[in-house]
Formats: sequence, C-alpha cells, structure tokens
Amino acid sequence: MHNPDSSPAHIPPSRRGLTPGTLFLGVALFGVFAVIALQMLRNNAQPITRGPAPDFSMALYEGGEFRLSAQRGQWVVVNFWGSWCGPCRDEAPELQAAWEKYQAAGVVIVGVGFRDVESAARQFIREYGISYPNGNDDGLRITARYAVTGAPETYVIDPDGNVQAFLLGPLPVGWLDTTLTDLMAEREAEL
Amino acid sequence: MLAEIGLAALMLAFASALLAVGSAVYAARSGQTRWLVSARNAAVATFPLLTVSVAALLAALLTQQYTIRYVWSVTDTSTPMLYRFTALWGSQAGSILFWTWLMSLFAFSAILINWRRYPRLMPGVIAYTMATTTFFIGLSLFLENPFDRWWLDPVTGEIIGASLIPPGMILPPMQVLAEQSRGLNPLLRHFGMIIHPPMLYLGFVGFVIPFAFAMAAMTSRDLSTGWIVATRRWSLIAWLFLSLGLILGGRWAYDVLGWGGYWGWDPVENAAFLPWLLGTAFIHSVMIQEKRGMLKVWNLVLVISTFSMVMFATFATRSGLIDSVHAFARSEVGVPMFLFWATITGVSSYLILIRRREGLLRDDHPFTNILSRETLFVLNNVVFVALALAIFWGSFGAPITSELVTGTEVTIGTQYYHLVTPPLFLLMYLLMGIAPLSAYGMTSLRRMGMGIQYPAAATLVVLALIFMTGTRGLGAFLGYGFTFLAGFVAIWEILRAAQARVRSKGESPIVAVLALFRRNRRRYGGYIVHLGVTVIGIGVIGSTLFQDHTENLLRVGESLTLQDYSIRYDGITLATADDTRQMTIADVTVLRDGQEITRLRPRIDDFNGMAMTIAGQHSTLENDVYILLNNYVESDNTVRLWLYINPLVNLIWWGGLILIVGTLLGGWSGEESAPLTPKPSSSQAKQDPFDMVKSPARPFEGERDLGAEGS
Amino acid sequence: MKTRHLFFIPLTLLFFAFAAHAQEPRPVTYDDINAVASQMYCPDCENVPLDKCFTSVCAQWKREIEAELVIGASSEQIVAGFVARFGDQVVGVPQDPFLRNIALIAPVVFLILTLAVGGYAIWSRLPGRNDVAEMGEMPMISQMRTPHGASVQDNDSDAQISDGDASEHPVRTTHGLSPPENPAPSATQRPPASPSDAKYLAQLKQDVDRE
Repeated sequence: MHNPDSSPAHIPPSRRGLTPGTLFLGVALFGVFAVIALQMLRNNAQPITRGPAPDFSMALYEGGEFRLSAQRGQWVVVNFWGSWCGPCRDEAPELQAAWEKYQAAGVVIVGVGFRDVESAARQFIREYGISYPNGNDDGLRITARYAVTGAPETYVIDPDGNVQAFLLGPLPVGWLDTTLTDLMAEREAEL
Repeated sequence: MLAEIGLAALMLAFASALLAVGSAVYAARSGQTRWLVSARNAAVATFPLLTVSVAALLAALLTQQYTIRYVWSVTDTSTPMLYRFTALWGSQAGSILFWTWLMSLFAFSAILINWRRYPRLMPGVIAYTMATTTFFIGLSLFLENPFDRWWLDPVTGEIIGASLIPPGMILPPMQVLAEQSRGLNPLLRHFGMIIHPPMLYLGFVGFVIPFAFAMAAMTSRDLSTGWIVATRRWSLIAWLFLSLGLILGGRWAYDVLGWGGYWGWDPVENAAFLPWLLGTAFIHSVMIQEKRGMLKVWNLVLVISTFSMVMFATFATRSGLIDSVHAFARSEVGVPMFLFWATITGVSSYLILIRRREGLLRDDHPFTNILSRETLFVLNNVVFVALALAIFWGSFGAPITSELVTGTEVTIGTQYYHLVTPPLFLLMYLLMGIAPLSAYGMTSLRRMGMGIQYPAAATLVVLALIFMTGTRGLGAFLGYGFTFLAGFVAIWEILRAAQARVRSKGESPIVAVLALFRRNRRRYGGYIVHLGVTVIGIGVIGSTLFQDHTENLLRVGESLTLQDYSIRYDGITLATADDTRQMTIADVTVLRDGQEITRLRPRIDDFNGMAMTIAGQHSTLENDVYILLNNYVESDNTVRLWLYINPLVNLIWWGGLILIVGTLLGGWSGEESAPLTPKPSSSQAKQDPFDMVKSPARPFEGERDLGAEGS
Repeated sequence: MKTRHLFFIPLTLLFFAFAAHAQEPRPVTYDDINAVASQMYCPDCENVPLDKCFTSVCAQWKREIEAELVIGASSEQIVAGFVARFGDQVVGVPQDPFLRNIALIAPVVFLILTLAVGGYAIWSRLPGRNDVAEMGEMPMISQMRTPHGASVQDNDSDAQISDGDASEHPVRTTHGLSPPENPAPSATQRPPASPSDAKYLAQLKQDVDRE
C-alpha cells in the first residue's frame, strides 16, 4: 500500500516526456485560448472611417441592382437605416432634401435596410416621400462588412471609392449639406 | 476631495498588493520568515486601503458629486438614496472596484485566520491572492477608473474626462453636470438588483481562496489534505453566495424582465452557472480526499477550473465577447482580462501536470467496487463536468467557432439546452439518491437496496399520485421520479438514524434529530441541502414542462381564459411615481371556475423612454398566475395581456431557502482542527518550512510560531 | 322533382359556404403568432426570444409573421424565410446543416465520449472479480484514532468526531476492527441481515467514523 509519508525520492517518477493525455490537454487549452482571442479581435472591429469603402451589391426595392463599385466617378452617400428606428425618421427629411439638391451634381444617395422587413420599409419610404434608391441588406452581409452595429449610420464616399466622412447616429440638420459642399469643393481644389 | 482620497488609496493598495506578491515570492525562495511577515502585512493592508477607496466612491455617490464621471454616469438628480447606494456596482468601473474590495476582504480574513495553522502554504496563498488583487486593482487604476473626473477647458469650453488634472483645465460647474447626469438603467431599480450582484460577486470572489490554497499546495509540494481542510468553509461560503446569487438573479428576471421565466440560458447567465457546477462537484469530491486520500488530481482540477470559470465569466461579461442582455458596455478591459484568464489557467494546468508526473498526486487507495462511494463520486464529477462543458459549448464554443469558421453568427437557444442538459440532470439526481447510501471501499448491492427500498416506495406512491392528477409524459415522470427519490433518500437517512437513536438511547425524536445534526453537521446539513435541491428540481420540472400561456387583445370588461382560470380587464390607471416614471397600470380580476380569487395590477413603467414590464403575480404552491401588460392603446382603451400559468414555480424559491438553511447548518462547525501535515519520522532533520523551491516538501515538527518576528 | 332531390339545395349552399370559407383569410390569434415567434430570436436584443420581445423591431417582425400566417404560410416556411433574409442567428438552433451539426451533434458526441472515457478509466482501475473475496477478508474499516491516541470505542464517540479529526490521518491502513457493541464472530465483513437498532446504530457509527 502506498505510504505517502515516504519521501518522494522513493517513488519512481512517471514516464518522462509528453504523454498523449498531456498533449491532448495542451492542444485543447491552446485551441480554446486561440479561438477566444480571435473572436475578441473580430469583435473589436471598428467602423470604417477612412480608406477604401468595402464593395457591395444590393437588390433595390424599385427593381434592379445597386453595386457600389459601379458608382466610381461619383460621390456616394450610403445610409444604413431601418423603419423600426426612431432617429432614422428624424433624419429622413434631411436625406431626401440632400438628394433633391445634389442629384443633378451626380451625387448618389442609397439607403441600405438594416434588419428591416420590406413591407414596413416601403411604408416608411412612402411616408417620407423618399425618392433615392433603397434596398434591404439580405443576410446582413453588407452591414457585417461595414461593422455596422446599429442604425442609423451614414458614410460619404468619394469618386475614388474612399470613405471621406462617417457619422454614427441621426444626421444633424445641415450636416450632410455642409459636408458634401465642403468635400466636393476640396476635391475640386485638389484636381 | 473625495476623488483624490479614493485615487490615492487605490494607488497605495496597488503598491501594497504588488509588494505583497514580491515579498511572498522572496520569502519562499530565501526561506526567511521576516519577508513572509512583511508579505502578510502588505497583503492585509490592501483591505483597509480599498475600504477607504470604496468609501470615498460611495460618499461621492451619496453626496451627488457629479464632477466624478462615474457618479455622473450612474445617478442623476432624481435618483433615490437607495439606488445611489446600489449604483456602486451599477456600472463597470464601480463594480470592478467593489469586486476587488470584496476580494481583499476574503484575502484579509483567510490569511489572518490561517496564518498560524498552515505556515508552509502561506507564501503561496499570499502570492496568488495578491497577484489576482493586483491585477484587478490595476484594471481599476489604468483602464476603468471610477475616480475619473470631468475637466473643463476654460478656453474652448470643452469638457473631457481624465484621472489626473490635464494642464490648464479646471473643474466644471456642478450644476451643468447635474443636469446632464445619466442615471441608473431602470432595469436595475429593483430589489433583486440590490442583492443579486453582491451575492454573485461574493460567490465568485470567494473561490479565490481555495484556488490560492490549491496553488500554494502545488507550489510548495505540500499536497496532503491541508489545503482542502483550510478552505472547506471558504468553499462552502463561496458556494452558498453563488447559489444565492443565481437564485436571486432568477427571481429578479422573473419579476421584472417580463417574459414569464426565470432562466433564459443567456450566455452570461450560463457563465455564472458554470463555476457553480464545478464548485458543487468540488465540495463533494474533496470529501473523498479527506477520508480516503483519493481523487487528488480531480480535486485540483475542479478547484482550478472553478476559479478559471469565474475569471472567464467575469471576462465574458465585461468584454463584449458575447452579446447579452447582461453584458456591460464594451470596454478595454477585455484584452487584459483575457490574458489574465489564459495565464492562470495555463500555469495552473501545467502545475497539476508536473506534480502528477512527480507522483505526488497518487491515490492512497485503489478503487474497489463500482458501487463504492469513491466510484460514485467520480461519476458525479464526470456528470458535473459534462454539464459544464455542454453549457460552455452552447454559450461560447459553438457560437464563436461557427462565427470564426463560417462567418455566420448563430444563436444557440433554449432548444439546445433542453436537449442536452436533461439527461445529465437526471443522472445527477439519481446519484444524489444513491450515493448517500454507499460506503467507502465496498458497497453491496443488497445494502444499497435496503437503504433505498423505503424512499423508492415513497417515490412510486408520489408518481402514482402525480399520474392521477392527469400528468402524462415520460420526461415528466423520469424527472419527478429521480428528483423525489433523491429527496426521499435524504429524509429517510435522517429519519432512520433518528429512529435508531430514539430506540436505543431513549431520546425523544426531536432530541434525537438535534443530536444528529450536532454530531455530524456536514452529513445532515448536506441532506437538508439535497432536500432543497430536490424541491428546486420539482419546481423547475413543473414550471418548464407544464407552463401554459395565452395572449390577446381585450377591451374593458372582456376576459381571457386559460385552463380553469379567466382574467378580466377592468380598466386602466395612469400614474406618475416619485422618481418620475410614468406608470400604466391595468386593473385585472382573476377568476377560477368563475369565482374571483384575486385582483392583480400588471403595469408598464416608463423611465424617459426606457420601459419595463412588471407582471402581476398570484403565487400559490400549486402555481403562479402571472399576467403581463404588453400594450395599452389609449384611443379605444384596449390592452394586450399575456397570461401565464406557471405550475410549481414557487417551489424554486422555497427550495432555495431550504438550501440556505442546509448550508448554514452544514458549515457551522466547531473549531478547526490542528494542521494536518503528517507527523515526521524522527529520522528526518528539522527543515526550514520555506525551503519549498529547492527541495520537495518535508514535514516539520509541530507548528512554527510565525508571530515571532525574525527568522 | 322528388323530395330527395331537394337535398341538393342545402348541399349546394353548403358547398358554396365551404368554398367561400376557404378563400377567407383564416383568423390568426396572438397565440398563433407567438407559436412561430417563439422559435425565433430578437435580432437586436441579444438572446431574447422573439415572442417575448417588445421592441419596435420585434413588433414589426411579429406583424410580418401575422401577415404570412393570414395568407396560409406554415410555421416552417415563415421561419425559413426569416433565416434567408437575416441569417441563422434569428433561430435558436441553426438551420444550415453544417452549423446545425456543430451545434447539436458535437456536444452529444462529446458527452458520449466523456462517459465512455470516464467509465473506462474507472473500470480499468477496478480490481478483477477474484479480488472481491480477498477484499471480504480485509474490511475497509480503519482504526480510528483521536489525536490523543485513544481509539473510538464508546457510544458517545460521535461527539468526539469532528470533521477535522478524520483529515488528520488521510492514510488508512487496513486492520480488522469489530464494532464495539457487537463483536462479529466472522472475520468476513458482511452487512447484517436485518439490523436491529443497536446493530444499525453501530453500523451507522462506523459510517460516521469513516466520514
């Protein structure tokens, strides 16, 4: 019978080196750590405030397809919204006004529905008299690419496809107008 | 002023804890008791320092110091005094400080109480408790500082937040800040919120003591049962608070979250459940090591993984790893917490493997019989660990893996847990029934049969009664069967022993029972706890399998019917409470078989846009009639009411009370015994007790009086 | 016209009544909507089932479910539609087969493995059958000693047994020990057939001794 009072020197040590059990445990632990670390890195993804805007394509409510890369050469305002979202209602007139003012200058405004249902979205569009193109982000792929966490979020993209301005939350009165004017003027000056 | 005091105390506590770690390690290496005493002093000093810091924050909350950013963010001018108090743990920064303070309290007590009895373990205990404390104080100091203040730039009028005065800035006027203060989330304004987080924190933090002792035992190679006996009561206290925290959390959810349930299998809820599972396995498994010197590796693994899960739970909650209704706002503490958790888990696992390889964790006895107590306890451990792993997989493993591998987010919902956990819970209850009847070393089937015959018979009777009430379903009968069996075994064991005393010693029954409890508190207290768990189990089965509900739109005078109950909407009352919330209260009459049994007032509380649904409940042992007001349309005075019938749900709360009583009874032992390092054989030379790194543990003679300063 | 031909009139009327009914939208109750919604999760408020969520998004989704139920869609169709639009995260168990497997089957497989491994570990450590008789001659009752060296013999020994004592000597050597009140004549340890109270108490005391 094993007597633990004896000093350890009398106990023959177990097999040296890695036993399969140890190896399995080590790998399992490492795997768990790695997976969680990777997830944390993913979660820390910030919204894109500069640099190239991720390309996407989306089916539009009025028919046809919208592809971001096809808009090269024009300014694009991408607005993530939902009919369920209160602040989106506050900013809807702002967006529509900007569309009416800048459409002739070649600015494209597009609304991307975030976790929305089509019938409610269409009702919203009717209610606010929105005439710029809108569609729904099926499968939440576009919003994943832009790391969108809520609505509304607005991106202003220049003709080269880079994000030049970003706003989280409802557009303050006049913000879009001023921003577009300033950015377009800057670009004119540079060219 | 308060912020400065609080910050200074926090900094001193940080330095003290760091010093304690360093001194303890040095004491271990050099073997000088002088350094160990210094380490102890530094360690126990963290508690009063943190008390000052917490007191400062509390004073700031109570006196409305809105220049302090934390006060500004969790209270506002209309917050009642009680919720100013609970705001201490209402948000990330305050709750981390509160947590750390509790940890220092535990460390303070554990170190002082065990100082003379387990001198060889002290360096490790001090080092590990203080290392954890240092980390958490560091989080407070550098990342989530509750003493950050608002500063005003007199030139630009900009207000920013920072810990120390940025150059050129002044304190902003209090009035402005007061007006813009944010206030406490309305969901947190409930009685449950007052108790639930402190209970949970006490439970979580309590496990740092068994962890530290276990690590100290491994580091010092003193792997006798010393560390287990020393921490027995700590483990029980931590376990009790954790159980309370979970039950109270369930009660709070049931009362204010407005979905008729008490447990949502939310990842953060599950994260708090995991340490409870592993901790329960631990407090059972240690009995085997104490009596038979077996399951040493199991016990180390269980205590380490309990604490690891505690760290993981707090990391997951505070880092935004998993989205949850519980989660704190995402913050920067995520990465450091992850690293801390990974480090302690990795280091402790490594230590266990090394010591095992050195042969220090061998069983003192072999396993002999499949029905012996040791074997059943191993099976018990396996069941609890399997439950923990299954729940971990559903809450974290599967969602994270799927998101990483396929890029798709998934939700693992109640369906998964109701598929995977019932078989394991059934096994758990079965073991709860038969393990008390087993004996060490060998149990004959006959003896176990004799022990179980009366409880089994009683169970069958109960099942027959249940059948007669019209209940059907294999799942229900299996569940009730095993649960009742476990409860009856507990009752029967008490009655049988008391009866034997009555007959052979002539004591009256009451005296006999009291004598039993006095003489073996652990065993009989444990039976009461098992009884409590049984009652909870019956409540859970009833309210999960047989919940019934319906929802409808009602005009005034219309009724909604479910089973033999009907509820009638009588009218609406609109009111404003003292703390400015708008209340919409529906007056509802509840009838059973046509007879009015009560009137309830489910309501919606609106706090400036944030709404809470408070149910109206009629609670009896048989069931809860639970009514929610979902919607009120003013124009035509219609409401949408949701009626739940929750059978047996109140047994959960009563079972919880029984559990508390049992734990208190079981843990309220007398004096702790003398230290149990085995007596040395005379041939061994006197060895310095702190010679732990260079050579394996050698027993030392008697106790070393560490009260005497100097080596 | 014979009388029985008159039956055609009510029959025809009934037929038209049924036909008209089939084209009416079937009335949908809140319980019907909740039955579908309970299988789904709120997209915004993490881990809250859709039926128990009352935010504006959830309310909208429930109205959509209602609309689909009215036109006669089945529960599976509705849920599948939402999954197609919003991803697997809106259901409690993923619909995509690969993910479903990861989520559901993996833990079951894992549990079975655990039990198998655990069972094997115990089984392989148990002595063989022929050892049982040997065990019978060496009962696993140990000599209980209090710190003062006296062995526990008297009836009130319970009082002297505090939880701490047992752990003084985690090592148990095996000696034969007969219960004090009832010296068993046989060396083999067999549990008493039908214990009298004294015998039962002794047995119980031994159990308590061991604890």
